[in-house]
Amino acid sequence: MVSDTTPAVDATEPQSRAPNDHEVVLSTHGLSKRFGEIQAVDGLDIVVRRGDVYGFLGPNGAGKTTVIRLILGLIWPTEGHIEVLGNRVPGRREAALRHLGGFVDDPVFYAPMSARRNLWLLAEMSGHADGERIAEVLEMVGLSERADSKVGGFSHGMKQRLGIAQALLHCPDIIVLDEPTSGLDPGGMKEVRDLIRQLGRQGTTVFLSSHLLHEVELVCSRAAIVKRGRVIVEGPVNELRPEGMAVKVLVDDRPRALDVLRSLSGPPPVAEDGDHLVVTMPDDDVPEMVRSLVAAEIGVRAVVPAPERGLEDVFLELTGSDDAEEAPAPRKRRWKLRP
Amino acid sequence: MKLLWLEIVKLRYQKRTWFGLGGLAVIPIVVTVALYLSSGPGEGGPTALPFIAGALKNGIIVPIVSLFGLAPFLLPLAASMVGAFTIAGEWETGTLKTVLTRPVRRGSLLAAKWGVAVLYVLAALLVVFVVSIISGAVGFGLRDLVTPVVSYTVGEALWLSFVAYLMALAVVVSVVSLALLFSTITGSSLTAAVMALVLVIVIQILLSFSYFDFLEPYVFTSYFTMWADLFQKPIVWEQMTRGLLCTSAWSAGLAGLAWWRFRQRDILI
Repeated sequence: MVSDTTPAVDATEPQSRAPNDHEVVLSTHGLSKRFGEIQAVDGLDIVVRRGDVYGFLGPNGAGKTTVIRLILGLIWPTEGHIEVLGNRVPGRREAALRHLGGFVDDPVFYAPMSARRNLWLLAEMSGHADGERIAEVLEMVGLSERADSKVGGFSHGMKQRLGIAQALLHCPDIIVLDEPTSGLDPGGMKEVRDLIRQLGRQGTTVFLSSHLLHEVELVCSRAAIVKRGRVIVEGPVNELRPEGMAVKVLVDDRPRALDVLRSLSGPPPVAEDGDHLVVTMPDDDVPEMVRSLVAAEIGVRAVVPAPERGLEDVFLELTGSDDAEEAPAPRKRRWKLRP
Repeated sequence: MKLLWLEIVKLRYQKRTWFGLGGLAVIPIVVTVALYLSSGPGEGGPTALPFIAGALKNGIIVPIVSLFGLAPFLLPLAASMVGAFTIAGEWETGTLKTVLTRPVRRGSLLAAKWGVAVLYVLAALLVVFVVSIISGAVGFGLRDLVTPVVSYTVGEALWLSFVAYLMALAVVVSVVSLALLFSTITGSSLTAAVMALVLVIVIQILLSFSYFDFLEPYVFTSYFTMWADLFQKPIVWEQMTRGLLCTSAWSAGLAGLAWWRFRQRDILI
């Protein structure tokens, strides 16, 4: 069982993928949507490749749901377009939707009908309903036992899972989920996250929006952070992590150690905490730093991880401070041990 | 066609579907009782129609009297509601977005919804027709319709009544299409139904003023009782032909507008 605190395992796991690996399956091109005075989406360019579990991360009101509506062809872009495996949306919306499955906001179903009946109806709409496939997706999301109960009596979590089942129904290339864990209790969140992770492992491309950095870290391989309809940062999730982690270093000679650290190319931020130096850097760079200290004949007594800087803090730093005139520039890694 | 079938499946699950049909089925029974209690033709109203005025104690007239009673208000009401629920009903519950994230053409979906609304009002009219015959037969028995003006055998009278119901359907479809259009505009079924009904009534009020007489042939609301011409000997086709053309044009135009509107509508639910 993967615990909820393990960082994005799948991002680093080798995956068995189709031969057309890295094929672009979903991209947006200068996508913009304006509602009267409000620019909800502003020249958005993102690229999702086959096999990605792509996190679309941003605070509430960043335009995430609007982007998902645009991708699913529910609303029309003011400018720009979306491309889904060669099909432009909105122009070839139906063709694109054959490759897409998903939901926006909370998935809604016909309350007086059973879960199975709902899926049957939705499958029939887009082709031919296959009873076995319906049973399969219900099994996948753990709703087999309630398959014949009326959806009206379902909990929020169950509806959410039925939404995912519905998205998977026609074996689409990409599934698009809008805040799939919103409003769920911790148990429900974990179930849904495990399910998405499992889909990712099976090579399904997933595009999901979230306002929880933690969640994106847990399930996604790539992510974009959006604010006011614009992408601020984009990249593999492990690179999006805040500029490294903090390590506490206990040395014999602090002043000289400080000199050594400052002489590193692109010196890392160093703070003093009692007897310790707190150095913030990518964990990969820690051995090199220790080697430099040792090379300068400084006795390194201990290198321990400092209590992690809240990831949420970094996320807030990037997306918050709406009062500031300009969105804070993405913090680039200004320091590197090697050029 | 498949979408149409799926819409029927959905309709079956809605309680209001059955309430609507049940409610309309009560009308002929009420009419039969009223005829039973009345001693002679009322002033104005269906019982004053020349071709039945002389035969009020005959079950064969119940279908016609019922249709005449429904025409000015209850039929437009039912049609407005059915037409309004098409898109707006699903809009309100949120299932519209679920449906539209499936690879379904918006135009096909709208066509299916229009189709099912038309089938529903057709079913409602047939229910009224059948219940009328049964309740007329129980109340008075079915006999040949013989009045000072006309005389029909039971078979002829039933056949003409049936055609009259189909003629009424043509007008009702225009109302359905009007409500469908409002349904794609407002996203609220109540608003759409009220707007359609109010418009139908306002037009009827305006047409009662002589200033607007010139409009009369061109508005579908003028034809709710055009079928009455069927009961002349020989049948006068002129008004009915015009009516069928006019209502069809309105239905097509309004449904076309709804289609145009729905295709470019942002679905924000």
